[in-house]
Amino acid sequence: MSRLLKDWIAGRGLPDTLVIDGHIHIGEWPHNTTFHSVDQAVAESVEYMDANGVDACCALSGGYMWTGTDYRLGNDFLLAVCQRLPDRMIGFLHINPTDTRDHIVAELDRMYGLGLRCIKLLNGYQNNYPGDGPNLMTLYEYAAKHRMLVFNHEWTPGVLAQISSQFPEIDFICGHYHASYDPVMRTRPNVYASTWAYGEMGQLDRGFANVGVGKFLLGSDGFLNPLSVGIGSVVFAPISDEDKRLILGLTQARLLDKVGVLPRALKERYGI
Amino acid sequence: MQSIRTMPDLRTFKPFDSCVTLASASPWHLAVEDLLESMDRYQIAEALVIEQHARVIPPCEHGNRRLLEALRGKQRLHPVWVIAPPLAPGPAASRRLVEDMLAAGVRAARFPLNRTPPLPWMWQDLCRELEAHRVPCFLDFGGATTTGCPNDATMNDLHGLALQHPDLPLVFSHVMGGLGIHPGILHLLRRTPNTYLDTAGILEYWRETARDLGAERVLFATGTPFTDAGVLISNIQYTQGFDETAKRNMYGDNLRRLLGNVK
Repeated sequence: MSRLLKDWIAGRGLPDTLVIDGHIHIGEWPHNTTFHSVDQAVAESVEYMDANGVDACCALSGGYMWTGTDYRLGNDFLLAVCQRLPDRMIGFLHINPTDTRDHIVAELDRMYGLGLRCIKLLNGYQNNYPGDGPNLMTLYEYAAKHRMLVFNHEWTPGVLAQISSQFPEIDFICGHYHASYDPVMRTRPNVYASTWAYGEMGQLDRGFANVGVGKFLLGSDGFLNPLSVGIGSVVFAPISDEDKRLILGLTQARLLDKVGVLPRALKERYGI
Repeated sequence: MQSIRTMPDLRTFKPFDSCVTLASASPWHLAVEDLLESMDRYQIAEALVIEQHARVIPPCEHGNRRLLEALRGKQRLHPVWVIAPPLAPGPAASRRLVEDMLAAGVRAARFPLNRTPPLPWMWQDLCRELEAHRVPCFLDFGGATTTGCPNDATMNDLHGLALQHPDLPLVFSHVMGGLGIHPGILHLLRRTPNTYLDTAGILEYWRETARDLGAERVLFATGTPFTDAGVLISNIQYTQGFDETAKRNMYGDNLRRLLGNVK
């Protein structure tokens, strides 16, 4: 049995392994009981991470991503949590592309000025705004110019192929792996996928085999879900421990370091 | 990194999966050998098993009988029969159905609520017979898969059924509603001590249920093959706020107790 798996089954977490959950949400959520205040988010997210052996999380916004809400309030909440946990929470600002172009650029400027270098999109739930719509193309231009990472709940494979070719300097991350992404993940060096998918038996195993482990990033949709929904699928996978470590954190760390937001404490702890 | 506090070893819990479907239907294929191999991989000791066609194509008894044949001699796998109210009104037909089921060694039932709505007047005879034997009944809201979610009318009917049959264990099985389950489920759980929730639907509902109502109300499940067991297997083990006994109950002893109570 793999040593990583042995440790995990034994309840020890993942000793000596960098674990970054690349897909967690911070903030009030319309349908579920999640954190209701910054204080609660700070205290309880650390408990979750410590219990599961997770070093750090890529923090995406919560309920303020929905159309009919002010996404800037969500960014404020996110920022407040990240500022209190600088070594454990890496913030991904949110933009709702149904807003005006001027508002979008203003918010990008504001968040960039406050140190955020990663963007989270959810246009599929925002009047189904197209992934290559004009406001998002403006956003991609901004991200390319400012060297930022872009994460989306979902793009169509066709749009993803197009924008990843047009903006080779941006690393694009799909929020939920699906086999329909395999071709673009294989052919585009700057396209990655979060492992988090409520998928059928063997879905991720096939993805690792078809695409290659270097394109997958651990994710869970925590704290809506237990963080272990993401970890379990990776540690039990029929791949080497070296490959598991890439997915669990090393690849995410490389992408975050590229845009300058990998916490120094993690670099020092793991010799990155 | 290492967990700040070591959690109990998964193997000590002897997980008992309460929702697995044998399927020979495109695109899902799960034969008995594949299932046992998967259970070994994820350290799952036992499983309650349904036959896919019993869920989706009436008459259920064809699939139910195939299931018995497939599981013959497999000690770790326990059959669940998909059953619905007989057309003939009155207790006799329901009594025969339940007695047949018990005589075949089947101690759990699954209600195909997507095609047979839980109208209390339609289900009362069958539920009365099941209740007399304390048979745990798993509520199936799914279509092609076991994943599904009730609507308002179904919740209303289930409320009536749960109250009319207080000694009949009813399990919300593999409930998943995309961005959330029907809010009535959480309310119903709090009003009817004979209702339970499984862990296959992820999100935090099962944890909230265990915290607020007691760990004895939660049953471990993976929903294999429609969901990957890797997503579900570690969640109880690594959750904080529950002691080892509570985790053991959720992982399998709650279900063992329900099955042991069948008269």
